Parts: sequence; C-alpha cells; structure tokens
Amino acid sequence: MTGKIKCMKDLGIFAPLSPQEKLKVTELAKGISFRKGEVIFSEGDLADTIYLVRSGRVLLYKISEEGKEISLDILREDDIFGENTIFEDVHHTMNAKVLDETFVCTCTRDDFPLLLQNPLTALEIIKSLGNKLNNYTEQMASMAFRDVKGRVLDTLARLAKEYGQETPKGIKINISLNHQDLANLVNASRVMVTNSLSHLKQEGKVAVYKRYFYLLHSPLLKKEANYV
Amino acid sequence: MYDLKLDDLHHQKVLSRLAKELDTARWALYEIKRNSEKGKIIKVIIYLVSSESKLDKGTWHFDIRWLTDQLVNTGFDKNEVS
Repeated sequence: MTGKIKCMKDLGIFAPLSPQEKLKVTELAKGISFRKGEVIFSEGDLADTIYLVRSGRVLLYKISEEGKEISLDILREDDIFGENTIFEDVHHTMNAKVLDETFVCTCTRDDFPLLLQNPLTALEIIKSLGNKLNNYTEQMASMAFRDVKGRVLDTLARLAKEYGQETPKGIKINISLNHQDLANLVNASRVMVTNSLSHLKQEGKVAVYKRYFYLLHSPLLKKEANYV
Repeated sequence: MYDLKLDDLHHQKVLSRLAKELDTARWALYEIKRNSEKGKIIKVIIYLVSSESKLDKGTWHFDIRWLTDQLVNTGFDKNEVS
C-alpha cells in the first residue's frame, strides 16, 4: 500500500487532489518496474491498460514493413500512454519499450472512469494529451517545411522545452541522447544529423558538454527555433 | 457550480475524441517518417493547407475538391489521394 501511495500521489496529474482523494486513487493503481530495453506492450496486443510514467523514459515506435524501427515519441515522468484503452476491443497500434530503468503506474480500463470522476484530474489528463497532440502537429509541420538542419534544431528546441534546465552555458537538455536517437526523432540518417549538428555548433546555436546537448542563448535562435 | 455527472460524461467524450486524434496523428507521423506514398501526400497536404487561403473561416472547412486536384496535379495517384 505504501508503494502504491508513493506511486500515484507524486504524479503531476493528481496534484490538485486532496490527501483523502489521493488515497482513493491509490487503490486503483498498480506499479510496475521495467529494466532498460524491456517491452511494455507490442503492436497488436489487446489495449486494456492505461499507463502513467512515474520515472524513466518510454519509447513509442512502430516497425516498418522493411523491418526498420520508426520512433514516434519518447515519454517521460508524468506522461500518459495507452489512452486508446478507453475504447473497447481495441489493440495497440504501436510498440512501447523502456529506454532506461522505468517505473510506471497502471490502471485498468474498468477503473479508468473512476479516475475521471474528479473533474480536476480529468482536466489534467485532457491537458496532458492535448499537449501531446500539439507536439505531434509541430513535428509534422517541421517535417513538411524544414530541411534536416532545421528539423534537428526544432527537435532540440522541443526537447529543451520538455527536459530543459537553465544553466550559464545555455539550456541543458537533461536526457541522454546520441546522434542515432536524434536521427530517429528527426527522420534522417545519422550521418546527416551529425553534419547538421556540426553546422549548428559552428553557428553557435548548439553545444555538447559531457555528452549532453545544450541550446546556447541567442536571440536569433529564439526566432528560428519554435520555442520561447 | 457544475453537474458532476454531466461533466464526467463530457470529459469522457473529450478524451475519446483526443484518443482518436492522437492515434491518427501517430499514424500520420509514422507514414511521414517512413517516407511512404501516404506520408508524402500528408506532407504536401500540410504545406498546402498552411500556405493556401482555402480555409472557410466561418465553418473552418477546407476545400477538399481543390486539395485533391492539387495533389493529383502534383503527380500523386488519384486512388492513393482518395
């Protein structure tokens, strides 16, 4: 029970609840740990559980007909996925695996409406999923309008918004990300991403210190990349 | 202040719509990223919808016939566009 309370009460979406309401909510929760690389669900599996990321990172991806892994999203603490669970008799349309040691809280389809009974919680969930949709729309627009260098910059700017930490050097993107990870996110080859990063470093927009990406403070950068 | 029961149903409806749109968005992102024919069509649609003033600001409807013609004229297969 103590593990369950710690799991649900610390999630951002339940922040508006009173301690008594959080206690009710914990009874609906089940916490699960995953080791790095473990698969949470696969495409085609029955969708009957909603997941909330408590810590760690989860990759949503599909495998193309050619056998290539296509990244769709990287989820972090407080993100929700498996939301299609609210429909009956549906199956997952993508795969989910963990990128780091990850702890998720789960809720069954039958219990999910009970979570929605508190309007503040329902609104937080709606807000979270709405932001996710905006995020995907921005990504698609970036792919439609921007070249690889522009997409790399847009992706780093988006990651800075989600994982950014202000430092004297610039905004540190506080997740471990290699060139291949970035290539998967921007839909380009690793070689093109490496070349683009080289240009961006020369232009003074991006830096790498101790294997973390930094967006450097620049008035031009704020105008060019889609972040505030 | 509000009817909890009505709000509950309203939130479920909003969530249902959001879940469907998220599924569609992820599918579109997948098609674009794997550079399929559908993905190429989606990218052109995004470009055309953003750059051409064919949106009816009153109804927020887009001229689909015009859009289809533009895509076919670009060289996409009509069946694929449909």
